[in-house]
Amino acid sequence: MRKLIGILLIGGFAFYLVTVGMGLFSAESRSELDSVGSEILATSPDLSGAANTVTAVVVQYRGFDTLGEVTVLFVSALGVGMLAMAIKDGLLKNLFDDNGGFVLQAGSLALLPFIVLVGLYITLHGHLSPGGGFPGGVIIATAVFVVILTSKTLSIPRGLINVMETLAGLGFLAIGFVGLYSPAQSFLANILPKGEFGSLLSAGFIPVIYAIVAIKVASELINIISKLTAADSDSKEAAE
Amino acid sequence: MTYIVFILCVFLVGMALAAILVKDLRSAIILLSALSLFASLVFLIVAAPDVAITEAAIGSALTTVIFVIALFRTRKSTEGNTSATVRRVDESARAVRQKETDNA
Amino acid sequence: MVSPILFIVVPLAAAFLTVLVNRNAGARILALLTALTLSALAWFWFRADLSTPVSVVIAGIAPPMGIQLSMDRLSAALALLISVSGLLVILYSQSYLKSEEAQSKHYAVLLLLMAASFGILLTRDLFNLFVFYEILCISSYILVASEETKASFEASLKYLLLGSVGSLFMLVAIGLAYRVSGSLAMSDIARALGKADSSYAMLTAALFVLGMGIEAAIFPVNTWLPDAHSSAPSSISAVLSGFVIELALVVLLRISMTVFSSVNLMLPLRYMALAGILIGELAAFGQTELKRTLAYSSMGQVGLMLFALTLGTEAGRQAGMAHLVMHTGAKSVLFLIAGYFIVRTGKREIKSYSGLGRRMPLTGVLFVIAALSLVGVPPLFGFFTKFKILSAAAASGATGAWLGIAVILLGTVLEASYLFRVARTLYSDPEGENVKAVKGRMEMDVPALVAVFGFTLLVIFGSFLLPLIPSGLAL
Repeated sequence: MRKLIGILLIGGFAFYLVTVGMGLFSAESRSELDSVGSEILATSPDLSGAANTVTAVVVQYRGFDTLGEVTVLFVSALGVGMLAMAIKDGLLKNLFDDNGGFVLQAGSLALLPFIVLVGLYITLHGHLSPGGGFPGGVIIATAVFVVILTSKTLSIPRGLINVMETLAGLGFLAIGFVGLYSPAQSFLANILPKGEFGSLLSAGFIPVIYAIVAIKVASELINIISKLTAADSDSKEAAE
Repeated sequence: MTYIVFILCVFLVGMALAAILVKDLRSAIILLSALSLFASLVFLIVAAPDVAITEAAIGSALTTVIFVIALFRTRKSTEGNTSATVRRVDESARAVRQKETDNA
Repeated sequence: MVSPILFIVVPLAAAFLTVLVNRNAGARILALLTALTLSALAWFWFRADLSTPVSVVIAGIAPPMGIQLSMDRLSAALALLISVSGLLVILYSQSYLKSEEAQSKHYAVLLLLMAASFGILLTRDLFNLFVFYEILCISSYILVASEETKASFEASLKYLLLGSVGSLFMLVAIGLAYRVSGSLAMSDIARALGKADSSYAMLTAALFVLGMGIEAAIFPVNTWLPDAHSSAPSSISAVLSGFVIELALVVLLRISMTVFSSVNLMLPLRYMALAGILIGELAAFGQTELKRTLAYSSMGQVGLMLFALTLGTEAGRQAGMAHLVMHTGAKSVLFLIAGYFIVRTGKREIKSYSGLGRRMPLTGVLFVIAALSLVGVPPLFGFFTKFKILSAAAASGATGAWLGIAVILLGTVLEASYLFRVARTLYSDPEGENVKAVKGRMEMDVPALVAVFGFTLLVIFGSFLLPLIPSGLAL
């Protein structure tokens, strides 16, 4: 009965949302919506120099939001770390009872460079083709996770990961500051040379920021995963 | 093209509902993962490849991994080597089970 | 050049750095220095001439496409309030926090919470607001859980579930707003929603208020508050009750008055506020634990502020803002001292604090002063703010104003009775065994005392600040 009421309520809400939302999708509001989009399309090549306009929007037009998103991930990773610390007994033990066997271990190690390569490619070509720092960082973290999955004895150096995380975060802010105190006088202004449109070394600071974002995302996710699986050096030490 | 998107969207809603209604948590996680994969397909078709890549990497790979670890952790913690409360709950559950077998 | 963006960047950088600092003392000093810098910055902006708001544009791209931050007098005043209370709370946590391991991370999260607060205050872009709101919410969940007791985990989970649903509502509202305006800048959205169909604007506004109302603890969606504020570490209770809900409330109201000006939100919000006062004060009256009483009292006080701010007159807004400042001071004092009582006695019930006021004379006096101000006893700040709210309500002629006056007076009576009950317990039973069982020095540590004293100054001399409180809630 409770389930039924819940489904009815959600269904009614969805119906209301769809009817009121769809009913207003008129021609004039549509044209206004397109105006900002076409303005961005028109100004993006000159302003950012990135061939991929989506990246231009994410890093250049709304770079401040990206900084915020990175911080959201950062605070979540901190939270996982604090909660994992709170659970003193039992849970800090290794997630896996034994190693995954020779074939799996060797296979995962063989996969690692390839997955990392894909991650790097997606990150560094973010301003040219679909992708960027967020998915690139996630893919790199996944490569590490594949190794964690097969090896019980692996110990992820937490100190190093933390340093990378901090440096990446400070790097993002530093780039912002360079913009603020440059002649452009605006936080996160893209003051690096734009280069040749469509080449790997173009679009000013966009590849740099994406590389930083990838480092930060990857190190935070590795942090979360290794904390949860107790594969990080701190947990290993605590277990001994 | 729109038909494919429409069919995929029906799939998406179906999988979302199934993920809620299914009893086994592991199945729910896999359903969510599949949902993300289909969603990334939809994003690809509607010409948003950036979102598709991100959704595939985060939705179907990373969140699945984290969910599975969390599920694994809760299982492991109820196996009886952990905090006092969990152990207490575990013991009472075992007592109930014992009673049931006794009655049978 | 001092840019408003420093308010966000400085605590962010400090938070990133804090993770590297393994020593707790280092993390503390870093957090203190950051809070000091922020206070200095806030003082600079508070004293600056802001008759025309100072705007900065991120990456040199103007609003319809880029993000704009704007510092006006209201933002400057609230930024000062936030940074000074952050500073005092960090000073206090030095001697209060027990769990040594988590400390440096705790400070990092606290700094992120402050960065997000400034972001919410300054941004003029709806999606940017959402991003900072997310940081604010997630760091509050973590801080509530950082007490590391079963109750705090449960409270944090409850808060997290409700907060996530709220964020989702907010996101849908932002999507709907983007759909009609094609822009995320608040001014564009306001214009577009004014032209849009009224039911569409209503839906957008309702979803947004419901979403953000969770952090602002508006009546029907404030069920997380008593658990979260009472089971968090006391320094965090002071932060959450002291400026987080107030900040969310002010920003929510600013957005409903500017972005959603085409929708009449004030009347429903006013009635929600009255329901919040009644339920909060009644529930507070029935509690036996001190921190829970204070948490429910926050629920009522938020209703009081919301009522004043939604009266629709300039006098009402002024009175609401003044009361907000008073509540930050008084509630912080009460929570910080309550935290000390818990540390000293190891108990949370009011009755186990009997006689504590005699053993800790200074602390007891500070507690009573804050309590009296919260009730609204004449020479203190709380009297002036409550009086201003009542007179503004009487003069406004708004619907429900007289009902509101009656509810506020009833709430005051309830508040007086439960706070006096606490005060009487503190000064009764000098030979009680509870007090004898407590070992060690009774009075608070010096940093904690300084922090509490700072907030008490606000409670006593706040009435001199009244002319400084900025008028209007303009965008």
